[in-house]
Amino acid sequence: MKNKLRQLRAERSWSQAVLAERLDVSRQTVNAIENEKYDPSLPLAFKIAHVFDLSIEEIFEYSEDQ
Amino acid sequence: MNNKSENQSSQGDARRGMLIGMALGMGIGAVIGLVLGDISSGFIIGMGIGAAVGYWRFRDTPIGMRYPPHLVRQLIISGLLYLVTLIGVIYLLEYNLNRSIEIILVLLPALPGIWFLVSLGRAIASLDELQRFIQLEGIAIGFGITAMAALTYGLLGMAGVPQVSWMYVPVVMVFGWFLGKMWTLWRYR
Repeated sequence: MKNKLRQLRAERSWSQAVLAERLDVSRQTVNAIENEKYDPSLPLAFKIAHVFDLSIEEIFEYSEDQ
Repeated sequence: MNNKSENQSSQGDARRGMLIGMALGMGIGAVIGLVLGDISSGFIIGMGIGAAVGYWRFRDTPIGMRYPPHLVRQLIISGLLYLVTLIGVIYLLEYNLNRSIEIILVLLPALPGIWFLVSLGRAIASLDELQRFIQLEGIAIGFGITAMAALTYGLLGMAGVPQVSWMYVPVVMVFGWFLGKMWTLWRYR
């Protein structure tokens, strides 16, 4: 699954640590999601959308090849 | 966060990785040393391997597992208590005590052992979803390594290779879990 997490974070000048704190997860988890190595659970995806004040579809994009 | 502070963070993680590796190596080395009868060699070998693996693994990778401090304290205290009672029981068993006393004695280390397991369970439950997944995968890999090693060595025993103590099984299990966790952490770096 593709996502715009890194781009959205950069637009707000947040570090991975700051975003991790807001999401109540580790920096490694933020890093793994940004690098598209890990797809978050539905509750975490909703939390990410809430933190950025966007909908899930505006952040995550399903791709057929995965 | 800019590149400089990200790099500083990675260096800090590498140092922490070395320390965690050394601590784990000491624990594993102590048990190996106890089984081999030379605890100091076990400590040194374990620390060396642990530091090397810790540095190599965390050089470019942030450490994910950050347990709440009170659970870390509980894990350390219960782990040390287990080691102390284990060494004490092994020492006391040298004397020919009454059989019923011996049975009670050998069951004693199970108490701090249970405390350790409960603390470990609570510590894993406190992690976030990816960290819990990494732990689970690490345990699964450790289980596979232990089962395969035990079966292979069992077959080697049938071929005439000298048998080793069953006490190696938990050592291999912990080492397998550690390796499995390192591998999974590396994949999600």
